[in-house]
Amino acid sequence: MRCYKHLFSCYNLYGEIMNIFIIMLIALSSTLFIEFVGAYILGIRNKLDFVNVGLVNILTNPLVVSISFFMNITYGVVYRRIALFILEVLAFFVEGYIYDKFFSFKKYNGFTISFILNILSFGLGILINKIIY
Amino acid sequence: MKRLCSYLGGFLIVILMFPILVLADVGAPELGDYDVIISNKDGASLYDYNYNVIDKIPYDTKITVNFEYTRDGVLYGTINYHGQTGDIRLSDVKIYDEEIDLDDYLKLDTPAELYVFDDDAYLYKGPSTVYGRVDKEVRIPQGEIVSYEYYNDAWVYVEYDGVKGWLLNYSFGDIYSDLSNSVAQVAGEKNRVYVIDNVKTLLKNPKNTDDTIDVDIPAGTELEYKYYYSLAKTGYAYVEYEDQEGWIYVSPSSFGEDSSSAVIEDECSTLIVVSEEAYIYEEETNLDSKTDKTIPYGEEVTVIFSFVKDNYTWYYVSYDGENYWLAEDSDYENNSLYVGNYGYVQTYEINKGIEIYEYPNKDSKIIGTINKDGEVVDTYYTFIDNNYEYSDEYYSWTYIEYDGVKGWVLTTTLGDLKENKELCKTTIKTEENEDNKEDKEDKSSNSLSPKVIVAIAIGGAVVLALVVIVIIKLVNRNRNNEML
Repeated sequence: MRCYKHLFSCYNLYGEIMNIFIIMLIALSSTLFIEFVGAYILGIRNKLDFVNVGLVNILTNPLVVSISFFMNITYGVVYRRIALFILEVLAFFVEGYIYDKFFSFKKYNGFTISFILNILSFGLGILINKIIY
Repeated sequence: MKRLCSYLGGFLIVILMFPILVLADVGAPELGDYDVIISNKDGASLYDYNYNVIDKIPYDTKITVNFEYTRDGVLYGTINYHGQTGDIRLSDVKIYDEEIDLDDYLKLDTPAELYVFDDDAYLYKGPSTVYGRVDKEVRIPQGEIVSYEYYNDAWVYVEYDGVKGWLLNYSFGDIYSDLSNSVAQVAGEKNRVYVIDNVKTLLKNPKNTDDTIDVDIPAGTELEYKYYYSLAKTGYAYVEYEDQEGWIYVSPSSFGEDSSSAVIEDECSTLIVVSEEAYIYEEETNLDSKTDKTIPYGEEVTVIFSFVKDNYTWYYVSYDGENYWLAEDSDYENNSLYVGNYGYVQTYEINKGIEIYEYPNKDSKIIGTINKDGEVVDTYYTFIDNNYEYSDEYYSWTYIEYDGVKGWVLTTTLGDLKENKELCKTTIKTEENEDNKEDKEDKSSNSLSPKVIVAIAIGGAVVLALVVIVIIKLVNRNRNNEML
């Protein structure tokens, strides 16, 4: 789910604090792309299920990015990472709950889908950052 | 699910607050910030705590250095760049504005003196080594005494032989850096040293622990010192004993460090007796010399020396014109006999209806009441009553002075902290200093700080989240209708 926001080096490219909105936009769009692809691979085909995937990420992603950014400038990178981990876990629960409640796709439990998609975007986010930076 | 969310929310708040609690105890010295620009054409590398490069700061970028230190002979500065805290090599930067306005610095009301004990007391153009030396060769010779008025936490502004400049007056210690000063404070009126354990060696130079002088100073000896070289919690005092002179390792009295063999006279500590059992001892460090005389409950005494030995804290105090030894078991299983103040008074706002007790005990006599809302009181001591649980209102008491009445109030009745003053500090801030500070605050308020920008981003994300929640509900309601 979280693409360009996981790594410290994320800010090397888009590091200007004035550009935080651009960072958030890139993080969100990258996350949406990865999770849509991931959802398709899992077998989700219903259009409204995809809408839900998009909406929950718009719900959680900007909050995770902005709060972790705040932790970084206030307390430093270590606490940003701690906060990021906690926020990611919270995002997993929120997304899992919404998927579980509203998805027509019932092959997997909503929390399982949330877990898979989050791991996928988290892992790819780290990988992309490693490759680029 | 709601319960789960509330638990998670509570957990999140606790975790987010944790860093604040941790950072409150970090003891790194605070130095005056200064602005630099990257002067290396290739930019400056930003290092994390493990000295891995985490960013590259472009040439000509302006940044603020918060703290400087040396490591393996390389001078580093700690900075914050784009939300990242890290270190840069200070050889890659130059000072942004070399003009120094002394009114920006602290000023003593009477000049203080420093003794130069080593041969590397160079003068710098500003309060950082990055400013560069006033003259590469000019240094204050060993043995000289210089005076200063203006200073910050690590540097003092001095004039020697017609040359003005900044002199390092802080030793960062091994924890932070090998950057250390070569000057020691010249002793004031309170210049006594008390030897706790036999001392066999003195140092010729407090920065060189290998070069020693053999002495035999027995425990219990009281000496006078001329200079004091501070190392944060410990230091070295320059003493003379039987025609031998040198530096003795000491602790400031109020810290009660038991690693040193001597303590120096306390400058500004007092104790208040909070027990009927404040017995006087005839001999220091001798528990058998306990007398049946006590310092009365509620009386205040001035601390001359204090130290820990064999699990007992010993106080040499002045009371009613006489000096006495007091002792206290350091284990704190029972309530303390004494509560200390190490030179600070804190002013709190307080509301009416608060009762002032004679002693820190709910059964004690009430000697006053605060009659007006929004009054402020000076607080001096805090007593913890171990007979109560932490959550009990009678657990913590604070000694206050209000309208000429001195007594105890429940700590829970204190309002907001208004001021924290140092009782024996001779520093003053000039009016110009305060004005400049206000000007700077005004200027800074004209532009958005990084925190404000990020706060706006968080606010935007929250609003977006709320909108999305509504949309999710709407989308899925329509969907349910379609299903039906």
